[in-house]
Amino acid sequence: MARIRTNKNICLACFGDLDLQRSCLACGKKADDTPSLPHHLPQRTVLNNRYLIAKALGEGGFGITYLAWDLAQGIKTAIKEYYPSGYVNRVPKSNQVIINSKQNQAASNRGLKRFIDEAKVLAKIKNLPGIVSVRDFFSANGTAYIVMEFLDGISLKKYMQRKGGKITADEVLTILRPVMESLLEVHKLGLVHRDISPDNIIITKYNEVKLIDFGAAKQSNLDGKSLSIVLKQGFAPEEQYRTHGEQGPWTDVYALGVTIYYCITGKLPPESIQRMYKDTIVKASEIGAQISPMQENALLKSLAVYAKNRYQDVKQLMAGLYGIRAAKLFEQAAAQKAAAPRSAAALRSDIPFTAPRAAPVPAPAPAQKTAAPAPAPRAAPAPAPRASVPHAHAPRASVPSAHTPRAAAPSPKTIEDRKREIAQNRARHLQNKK
Amino acid sequence: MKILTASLCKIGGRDYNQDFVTVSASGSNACLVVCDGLGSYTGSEDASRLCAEKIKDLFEQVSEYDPARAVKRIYCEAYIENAHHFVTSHKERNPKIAQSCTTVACAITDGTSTTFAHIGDTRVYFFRNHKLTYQSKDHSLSQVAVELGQIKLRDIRTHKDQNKLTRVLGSDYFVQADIESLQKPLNAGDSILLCTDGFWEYVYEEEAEQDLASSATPEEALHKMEKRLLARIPRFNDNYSAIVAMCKED
Ligand SMILES: Nc1ncnc2c1ncn2[C@@H]1O[C@H](COP(=O)(O)OP(=O)(O)OP(=O)(O)O)[C@@H](O)[C@H]1O
Repeated sequence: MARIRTNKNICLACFGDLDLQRSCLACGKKADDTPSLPHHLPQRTVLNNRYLIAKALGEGGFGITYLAWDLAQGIKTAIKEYYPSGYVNRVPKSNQVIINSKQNQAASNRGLKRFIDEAKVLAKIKNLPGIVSVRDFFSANGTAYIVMEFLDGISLKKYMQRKGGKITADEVLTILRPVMESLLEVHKLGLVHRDISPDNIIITKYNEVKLIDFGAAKQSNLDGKSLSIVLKQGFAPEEQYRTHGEQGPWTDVYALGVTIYYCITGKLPPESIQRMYKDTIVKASEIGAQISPMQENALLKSLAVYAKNRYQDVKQLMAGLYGIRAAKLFEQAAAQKAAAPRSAAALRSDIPFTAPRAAPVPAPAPAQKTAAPAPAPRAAPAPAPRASVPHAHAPRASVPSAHTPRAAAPSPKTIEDRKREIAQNRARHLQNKK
Repeated sequence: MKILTASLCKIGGRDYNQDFVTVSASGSNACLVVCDGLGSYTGSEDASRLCAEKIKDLFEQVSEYDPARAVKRIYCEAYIENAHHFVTSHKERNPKIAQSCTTVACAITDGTSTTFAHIGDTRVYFFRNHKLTYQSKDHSLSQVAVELGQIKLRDIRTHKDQNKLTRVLGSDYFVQADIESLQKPLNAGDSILLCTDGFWEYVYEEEAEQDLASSATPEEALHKMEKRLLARIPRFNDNYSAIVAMCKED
């Protein structure tokens, strides 16, 4: 007898159907029904009539990020809930988020407003290859939610740890290129990320590199309370510590500089605010980093304590880091790629990616997305970090994969494709059952 | 010369005590650690305890086979870095306390070499002959204001940014402690005071000097300071903790 598919019997691992023993008919996994933490949304909560909460992915000072299934489209999403820890509580059962004391009210509301404002802007800039795309946002439970594409991968921090605690400047620059290119566009819109660090850069299974976690809500100076709080250690330039510090693209330039410094040395430079009166920063090359003199000069300039001595924007930073010659080469490469798409074989040799087996033809991006600002036409879906950094005569491969290459295609699936696939899976497993 | 110690670690007017204090002392050897788990983040009492205990354990382990090195600067740095990784790996296994972190202040000595280290706003004070000769600089926005000449050191206690820390231990990234090594061996009459902000906010430096000078034992000195504190605290005051170590003739 056919069972009705409800949020209670959907497999949270693959979106298939659970049988009466709560094993999935599609992936075979048993449902994990252990209760969620009390201050998190419970598993299987449906938000906005559309998103089925699978589990919390993590929690920061200002929000909780969940993995959720989009019931309408059958795809995974990451949903960030505004939840400033220490300022709010969750009412059991109703899931309402309430401010825990009068004195925190104003600060918390200010943060919420910023969170919503930024979500609205972010929703307009989806489809930049180096930035996580925002699919939706809404208010509910007394707070607000941002729905993002789910990124399956590891953070740059994890990646470099797995590679022994540091990587070369060439490698980190290869990884960061798509992020920097996308930041150029983000900055044009007057947005500043404010929280760039190796945990907020995700390298996906498909070797895309994406920046997550825009920090608007964090900027709000949540004051009016007596408990100690920590300011983002290491990555924030001095203007971010000041209530009226002027922030701009140069703010992200500093954080990018620290990100590079950290990746190539395994250590943080002293925090900017201390460097204002006692600067003990040591050159990365002096503590064992592999970096060329040109790159090091650019790095130091990005790390200037005061904004006026820093590169003013990412364009200047990139010219400094990659060199004007390299920038030209990127352009040429892009032009060549546009003229003659690389063969599948050539593609395979430099990125861990193989052609789709039985997957649908890579379809154009879903129509509701806005066009990315002029990315070079691609031969294949998102083999981001595309070119390697031209350096001496050792052309390097793009990001060495932190994941095992997958046989299945990482094609940007349309919703229809995905739905069809799910339906096929389900049909196949029902068949097997019989 | 021998080192005598006394400590306290109290809940104050809060619901939880997230401070942690540990002492290992024998003869002229000592490892003193005070940690203050950050109250804004759940599970910080774990972070402070794990950090303090790890530092003490490592000190004791190294002391056993190489006592002279155990008190050196680079070893002290290593204890703290290890404590950070110990706390973060514990957090990885316990997502509930993912945000927890702690301050730390520690002093290690064998009587000849003495090293102080701290992260955050838990303080190290060193008194030579009852006179304050070293005071650690907090990792807080208020301390920055002091360094930039905007406020007086004394006024940190009432400054609005005193709770905004610029460094802690056990957070996403390891940050170095500030380390200070004493140039001279310890002598009878010297004292060390380690304490959390819940303590130093209500006990002024010159009062600590007086209380140390007028007391025969560390217990007595600590008791006098606590009396001053109790006379000043508001309701719902913070946890407060301190260790007093006094150097005495054998
Ligand atoms: N779009 C996404 N896809 C997949 N995972 C994500 C996505 N966005 C965030 N995450 C993951 O969710 C976890 C929690 O992230 P979140 O930003 O809430 O907290 P945080 O980064 O740990 O803290 P903070 O917000 O204070 O920086 C992280 O492990 C992050 O990698």
